[in-house]
Amino acid sequence: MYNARAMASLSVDVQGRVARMQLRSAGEPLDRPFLEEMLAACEDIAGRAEVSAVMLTGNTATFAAEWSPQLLREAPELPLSVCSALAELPQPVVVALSGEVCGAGLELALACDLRLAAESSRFTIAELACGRLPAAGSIQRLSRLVGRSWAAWLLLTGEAVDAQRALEIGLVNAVHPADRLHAMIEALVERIASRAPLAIRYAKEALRQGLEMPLAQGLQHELNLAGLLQATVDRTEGVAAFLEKRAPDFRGE
Amino acid sequence: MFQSIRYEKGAGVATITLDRPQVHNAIDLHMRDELWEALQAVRDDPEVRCALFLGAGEEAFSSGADVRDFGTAPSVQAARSARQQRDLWGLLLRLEKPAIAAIRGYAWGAGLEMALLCDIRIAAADASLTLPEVNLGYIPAAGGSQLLPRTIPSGPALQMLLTGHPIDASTALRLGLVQRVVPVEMLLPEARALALRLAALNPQAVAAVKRSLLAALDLPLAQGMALETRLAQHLAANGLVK
Repeated sequence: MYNARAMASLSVDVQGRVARMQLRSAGEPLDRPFLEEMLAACEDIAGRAEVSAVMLTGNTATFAAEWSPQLLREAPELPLSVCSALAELPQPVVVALSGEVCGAGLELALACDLRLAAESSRFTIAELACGRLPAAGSIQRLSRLVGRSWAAWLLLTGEAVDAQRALEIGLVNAVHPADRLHAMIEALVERIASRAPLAIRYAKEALRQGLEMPLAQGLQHELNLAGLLQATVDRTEGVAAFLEKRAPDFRGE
Repeated sequence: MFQSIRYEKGAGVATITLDRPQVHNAIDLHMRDELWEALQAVRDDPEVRCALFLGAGEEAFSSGADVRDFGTAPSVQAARSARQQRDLWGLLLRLEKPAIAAIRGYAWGAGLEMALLCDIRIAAADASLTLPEVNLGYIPAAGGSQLLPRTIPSGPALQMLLTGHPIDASTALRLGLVQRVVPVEMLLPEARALALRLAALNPQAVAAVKRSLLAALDLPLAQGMALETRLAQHLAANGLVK
């Protein structure tokens, strides 16, 4: 099954268990119509039970894009809404990054679950030098990802870090040569999509939400979600496949 | 006395070996029963100052929960209730004595979760660590989804959780999942030496450190500082600080 919706600067293509979101930018700032398309795309994907994993890609201009000044004046809450919509998708989102990653592009990347970077990519947070804060909650996301030391460094100095450093501090999950990046993100997304769909959703939920709770509550949350999976067809199938040493055939039930 | 674990006590160290090497030390219900007894002993025996966890044989710390047990509980509700009444993993997490996991080979699923519940993880160079549950249609249920992202950065934690892909010892060291990697033949000597050092520490001070560390995961900074201050003052007042 092939579903493609081509929008002005955003295309979403659903095949099998994977939704591929492609952001095409020619270097213009991200404006209100674009953000509203992203919100609509996120809402659509969230409602698709058949989608297990989301891949987000763009050209090199995409992740260096800035929020448009007009947007920040007229609808300052919209960048945060879009980043939250991405982060709160029930399905995990994997993004492939290359070139300069900064501004709105970096904020979108931080809202994703997993980040793969090309060897030549560089990451910068330059907002403070312009007298403002990142517009979409990135200080919170960044500090939770890389810890207070590196978050402070990146925010206060505005200096770029390269892909290798980004990997070391936890800002990205993996670094690949530019010509391998697409193959590697495809492989990673396919791997996630081959796991039991409900387990993937609950794993994301347990980890992401659990981190926002005291440990005891998080442990209870995990137990509750694990309990919900005990009654699923896919768990029975997963265990049977394991014991029979064959590939599991998951249904998403 | 025990059949699926071994419990040895000496020089202040309780060494608990997961002892089902023919199934990579998979943790079944019987082993959990025995671990419950053993951990209570560790908690309550004043002669035990440090716990050291090992896997029998040369291939695994533990490959995780024994899937042959799955589906044997009378109902999901019964399983949940049993777990809450006898919280084995909570007992290990809240142990006021230091716990070391010495990992060679597989530490998968509940095996890794057990190691995560310990304070210190030392790995042999052949270690393989992962949470593979999503490939069997479920998620970690012994704290893995909570402790892994509180132990290593959340990005790598999420990747491990969503893919179930194993990582090796050097990656585990880089991420901070284990604190040391040693040649296989050095694992036991190093782990035992560390256990003896920790067993020689003042037990009230150790208990205070562990409580403080656990609180640091949860409490806002100001409250955590207040707890730490109270613990430190209590130690000092009891003449234990020279």
